Amino acid sequence: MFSSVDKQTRVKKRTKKEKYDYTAFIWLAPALIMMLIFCYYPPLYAAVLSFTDSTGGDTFNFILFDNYIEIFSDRIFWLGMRNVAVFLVWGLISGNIAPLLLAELLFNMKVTKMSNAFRFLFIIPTLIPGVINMILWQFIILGPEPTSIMNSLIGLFGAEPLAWYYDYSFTPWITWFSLMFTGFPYLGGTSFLIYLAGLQAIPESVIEAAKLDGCTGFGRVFRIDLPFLLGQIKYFMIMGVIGGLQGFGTQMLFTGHGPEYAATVPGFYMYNAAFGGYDRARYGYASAVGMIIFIITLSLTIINMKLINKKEDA
Amino acid sequence: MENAIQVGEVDEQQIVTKPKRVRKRSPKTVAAQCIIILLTVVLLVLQFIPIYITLIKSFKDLNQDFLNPYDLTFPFEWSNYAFAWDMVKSLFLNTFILAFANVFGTLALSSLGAFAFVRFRFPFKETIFTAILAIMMIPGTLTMVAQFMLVDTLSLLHTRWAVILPTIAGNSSFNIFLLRTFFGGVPGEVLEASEIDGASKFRQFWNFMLPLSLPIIFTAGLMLFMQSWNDLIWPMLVLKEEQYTIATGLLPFTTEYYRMTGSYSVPMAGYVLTSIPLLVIFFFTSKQFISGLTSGAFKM
Repeated sequence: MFSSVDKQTRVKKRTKKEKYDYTAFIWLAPALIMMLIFCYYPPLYAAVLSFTDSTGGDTFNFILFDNYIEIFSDRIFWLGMRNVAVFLVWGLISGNIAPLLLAELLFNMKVTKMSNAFRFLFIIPTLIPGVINMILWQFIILGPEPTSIMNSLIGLFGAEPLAWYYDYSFTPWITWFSLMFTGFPYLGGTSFLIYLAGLQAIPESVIEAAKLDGCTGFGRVFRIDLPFLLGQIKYFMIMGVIGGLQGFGTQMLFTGHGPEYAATVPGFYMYNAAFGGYDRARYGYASAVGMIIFIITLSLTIINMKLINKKEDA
Repeated sequence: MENAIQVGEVDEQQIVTKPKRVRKRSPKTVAAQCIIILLTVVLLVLQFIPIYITLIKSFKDLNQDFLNPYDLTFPFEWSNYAFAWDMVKSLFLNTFILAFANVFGTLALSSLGAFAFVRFRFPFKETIFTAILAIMMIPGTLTMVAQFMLVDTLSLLHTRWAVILPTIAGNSSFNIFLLRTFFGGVPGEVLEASEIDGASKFRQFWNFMLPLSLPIIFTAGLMLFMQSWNDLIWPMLVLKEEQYTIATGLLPFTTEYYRMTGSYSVPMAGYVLTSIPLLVIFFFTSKQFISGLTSGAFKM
């Protein structure tokens, strides 16, 4: 995964045999102790909990796979899986293509001062607290009132106002559209800068050579730029999968399950089982859902790394 | 496009020998550049729409908001801001406490840890590093229930420590990775020279490694600050209402105010106020922040 670092240390190991310096552990200790308590213990405990009927008290019974069996036979869980698959695929596409496009635009802008000014300006919206953006989308842009921006816009074409996130037309499409449209033009974040850095790291000689071979414009983007950006793409794919599979802020604050469970995602399903109501502290069951999310995340991450590595070798 | 690269990056020698060609841009290049700039501006406008709405609405009184929701209206209703400030000032303080603890705690733990990986030889080095990275793969939702029971057992529930400690621990993983990549790129000669001069490891770290790594420290710091500013689900779960942060407290305030008045203008003024700190910090650190983000440390 981190080949350059590995190579450096390997070379060092071969050339000179230094002695181990155990004081390193003093440097590492604060971080490691904190991680042991708050990062390693909870997932292990969650794994144990997932096989129990714990409701938070001191006693619980081991019930083996009962939680898992119940989850897999719950229709709502599967609807959540369907929804998260849709959102995840869309999130990975929109969340990478838009920043890549912006990075290419800024990279190809010949007036450096202008490019730098744009770079600065595009960061400003990302500094607005995320919850404000969510509120704006929820109440002002895609708000259910006839005066919301989207409803005013479609009103110009004579369409009836829609409830968007809360649309009860018994198909998930409008709810899905609303959730997927949220965040348009999908540049919220600093990923465009990271792609831009990748583009700037392409050796001048490669671009020159490509130009001599008549490879310019879009041809260059696909044949030169994208292969050089694989490291960044991989980073965002992996982070996107991890974040996309577990996020449920929108569901928790606004949509809830949505009409006909069109907005439910597994993370929110889990949260509801654990903290959803006074009589629902099903910690064992919720942990089992968490384990399933974890296993899916892990498999997708491994597939991601294998797939992109293969392309790199070719 | 072909000429674009040539024209933009001609070296001085060429300028001397062929001064006329440099100034002259082919119509194709100019057109391409115009399209690029136009597209960028369109994206920028779209990206700024939420900010525009927030600013416009924050200056409206109830009537103006009702009659004219998306245009500039006069006179400006400045009292919105006074009212909003009363509502958000406690959120501010709460968020600042958590954000500072997160930034300084995480940076302290991760920079010490990352330094160990770059400047020490110790057993199981790569194994430990992989184990630290593995944390990033564990979804927060998996551990949420167990984490909740843990802070309950440690009697941290409904205290700020319930947010601070798990956040610092969870962030250390990614930040050790990030700082190790950056520290690894700092030329070792400087540190080795100071070591020969008798500088202790800690002095090498404090006097040389940290100052040389300021861009990535600023980047990581601002990202952590933003994270505290935006963190939603966990704080909502473990904090008391009077400890609510901006992310957790703005929505109740917004819906409450809308229910009473049918307008969003005062909440919008609150959003403007809560956006200011991050903007101010960014204006002062933007150079470091951008150079850290573009340093190439973010990839796998």
